[in-house]
Amino acid sequence: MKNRIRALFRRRFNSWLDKRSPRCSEITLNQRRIFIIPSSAGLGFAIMLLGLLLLAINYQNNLIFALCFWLFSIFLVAILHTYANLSGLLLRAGAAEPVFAGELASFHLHLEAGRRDRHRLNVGFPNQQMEVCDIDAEMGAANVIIKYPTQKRGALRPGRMEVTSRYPLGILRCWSAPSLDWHCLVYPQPRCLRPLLNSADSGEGHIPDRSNDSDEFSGFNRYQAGQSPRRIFWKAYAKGQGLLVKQYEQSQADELILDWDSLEGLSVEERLSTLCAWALDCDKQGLAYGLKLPKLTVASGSGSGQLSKVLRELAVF
Amino acid sequence: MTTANINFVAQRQAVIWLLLAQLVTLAPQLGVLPVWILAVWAFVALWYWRIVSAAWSFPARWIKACIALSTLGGVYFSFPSLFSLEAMVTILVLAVVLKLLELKTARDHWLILMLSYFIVACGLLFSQQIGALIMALLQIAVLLLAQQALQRRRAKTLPMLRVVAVMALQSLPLMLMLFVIFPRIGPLWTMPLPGGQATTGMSDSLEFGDIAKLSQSGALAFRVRFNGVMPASHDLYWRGLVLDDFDGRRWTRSSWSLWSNKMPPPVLAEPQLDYTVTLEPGSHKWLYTLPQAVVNRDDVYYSNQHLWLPARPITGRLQYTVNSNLGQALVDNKALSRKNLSLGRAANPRAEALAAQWQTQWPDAQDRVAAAIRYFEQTPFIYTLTPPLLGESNVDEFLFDSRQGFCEHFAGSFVYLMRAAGVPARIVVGYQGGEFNDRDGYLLVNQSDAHAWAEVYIEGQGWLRVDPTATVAPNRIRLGAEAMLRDQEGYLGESPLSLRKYEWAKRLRYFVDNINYAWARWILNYDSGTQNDFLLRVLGDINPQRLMLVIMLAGGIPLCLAAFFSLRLPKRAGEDLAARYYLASCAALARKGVPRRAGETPDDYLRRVAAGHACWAAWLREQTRLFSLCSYLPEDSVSYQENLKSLKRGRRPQKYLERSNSSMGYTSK
Repeated sequence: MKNRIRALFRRRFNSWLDKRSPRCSEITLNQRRIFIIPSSAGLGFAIMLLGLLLLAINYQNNLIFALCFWLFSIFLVAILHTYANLSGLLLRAGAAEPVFAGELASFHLHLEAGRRDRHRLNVGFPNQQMEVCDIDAEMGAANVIIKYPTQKRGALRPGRMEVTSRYPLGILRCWSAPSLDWHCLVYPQPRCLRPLLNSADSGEGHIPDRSNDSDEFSGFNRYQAGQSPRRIFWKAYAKGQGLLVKQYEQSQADELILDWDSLEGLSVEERLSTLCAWALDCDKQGLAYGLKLPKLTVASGSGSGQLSKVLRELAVF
Repeated sequence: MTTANINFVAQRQAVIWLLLAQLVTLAPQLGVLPVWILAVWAFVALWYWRIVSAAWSFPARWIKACIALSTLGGVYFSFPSLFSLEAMVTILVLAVVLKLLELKTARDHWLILMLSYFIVACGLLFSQQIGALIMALLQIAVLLLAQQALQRRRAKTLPMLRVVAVMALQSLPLMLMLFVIFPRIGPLWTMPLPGGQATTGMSDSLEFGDIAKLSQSGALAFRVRFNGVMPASHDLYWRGLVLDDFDGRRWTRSSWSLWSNKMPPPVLAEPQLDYTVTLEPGSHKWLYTLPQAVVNRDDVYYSNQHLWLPARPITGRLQYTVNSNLGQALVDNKALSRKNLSLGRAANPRAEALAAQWQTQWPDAQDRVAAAIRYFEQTPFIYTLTPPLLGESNVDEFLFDSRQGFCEHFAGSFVYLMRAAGVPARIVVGYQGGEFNDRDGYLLVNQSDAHAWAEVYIEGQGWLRVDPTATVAPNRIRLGAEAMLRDQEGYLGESPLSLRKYEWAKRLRYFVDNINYAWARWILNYDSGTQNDFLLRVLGDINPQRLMLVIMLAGGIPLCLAAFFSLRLPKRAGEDLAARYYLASCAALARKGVPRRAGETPDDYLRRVAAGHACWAAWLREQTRLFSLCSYLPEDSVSYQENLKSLKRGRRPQKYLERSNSSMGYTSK
């Protein structure tokens, strides 16, 4: 019950926030976006102040009155100072490298201090590990990587992040939940549910017998970015002849296609996971491979460019 | 919890500040706390430090129990009662110190800090001098630093101190407003009072030598401000307590006078004296007044010994206004108690023989009193602070052998003689005289002015004051104790201010006392009455609207100022003024509808403006020229300053056009 009320409240609050501060790639924190409430320590402080007040009243002690009022005024002034620690802070969404489902996605966050020292900023996503960062006014800016767990493949929009600060006295918690325009591609989780060789038997593709390298060596070529480092002829590099790659003869018939249809009997996600595992495996072996999905075909190729192309198609399927 | 623990222990700086805060909290209170508590702190702090350094681990439960029990035992043996205020504060301090041994989470850390604030406030229950306040402020500053150390990566003292100082100053106006306006209501429930600290003061029993001892202290007893003319020094008998119970050696308050002793307050005739007495802090069980007096206060009553007594002891600094008529007789409305004739178990045959002789010689009580005064006049008594010790029959030994004594010897012997002669008599203790602080026009009554005198009851006239000391040493009454006893060894010997004979030292003492008096009068005794007067004077009328207005003005304006100063961004360092003025020019032109595009260079912009909006071209050309000049000239050169000035002046295209038009107008004429 309690959780439901809390969830309801959170949903309401978030939809109100969405109207108030829409998603954007860069945000400067200001009074529209910063909220401030007493922290639990602040509640303790308030209880202590109440105790002082009772002490002062019962002993008719003006000095304790003065002390109590002074600490209370400091509490009020601390609101301004706590607010100042976040106010004017500029947050900019950075890149986010693709990850496999189930891993932690890393989002780069760029913080600009804006002519003021910033102390103990806790940045992160709600209910996740928070990163602590301090920015000197002289340094001006900082980059933080914040983590978000992934569960499903596809384009990930992590939702609102949180910036909180309790500086200077810890009795107030100042926070903002900006919605930064981040997205991250999440590949399917690689799970090899069927061996790759089986697909060869299906007749759609042919897997070279990897136990003895059946490809015919046909000569050297100049290395081009994206080609597998496994094929580099290191001896030539050691002799100072530059990066050369060994070229193998590959017949058209040898072309390896990772085929959706070869995975009958598996669910969609299982097929994608298996295809993903295969693609990784092929890339590891330095093989050329293509991908065949029901409505899409990726031509054969090799190297990191091919891998990311294939994985992207698998992610957004 | 474990990860929090690891993170937490890693913050060594916060731990250092916490330990420092604890030390600072308890060290200035060692006057109240037992000294061994420092050793407990050092032990526990060392242990905790070893824990933080990962050398030791948290103590086992039985070790913690042993430490807690043994320290509680220490408290039990250090104080007469576990329920005295001192013992309770000590237990609180111990709790805060021992909490270190189970400091595992940030929550515990906070608990220690919050309780430390409370302990600092408790310290102010025991002392309310200016020094105590300054000490409390320092303690609070360290606590705030310790609190801040939790919120910083590097706890550098100076920047943290700056923040604390800024916040303290910003909150000062608000604090003052709250202090002035917050209603002073009476105590909500009774609390244990600070016990009698070893400060000097009058006690409610008297033996020979007590007052002589008291007058060696330089401490202040109370201050008096007269509205109008101050009476002569020899009339200033500050009546405190009546001691009528005599057991042969010691004079005490008779026990029956402690209950059912109320009497309706007297009605004073004119002329009346009007004055305000401010007693120094302590636990006050009786008030000092000039008889006959009416104290204007609710929580005191008039006793049948013509004394003003509080219903229950009042702690702290006590201030009350009094009306007195010095000539009015102290008449009892009840039959006189036989106590006032009792000689106790004392055996002073020689004194009793003398009294018996007076009793037969003078049938009239008044003549017997006169005879006794004459006796004191004619016998060569010596008034001294250091009288010899007396034996069992101390009255006889004093009257007939040693003949050296202080006021209580004279008063005690006089009362003894009077009682033996059948005249009801009793001892009154209080203060006599005082020293006048002419800087601010008030009377300082010191402990060295402590005095004892006698009262005899004459039928039809009531209780009459007789001061045998005045007949022996008239200067004591006329000039005051200080002038009389200055050269005697022992007088004020205990005081660090034994510089009293120097004029400049006296001036300085008066000056310091002025400050203390103002402190007591305006700060410590700011109660509902003073508050009412003050608010009436400031506001003219106390009503909710005006109070709200004051709260809004006095609270809002300082907070707005604080907001302005703390939210204002610091000036951009090394800002390029030329760029700023040039950008202002571009912004002005943008308002005319020709904004500079992102990434457009000044020259490109100028070219575009010249092509499309010719009317602004001349102006922009000039601004661009000045800007590029300023960008390349050294900043300290004269031409840079001149160009910068024209660049600044030309920021607004409108004004520039007007100026050039008017100058064109000139040329056309």
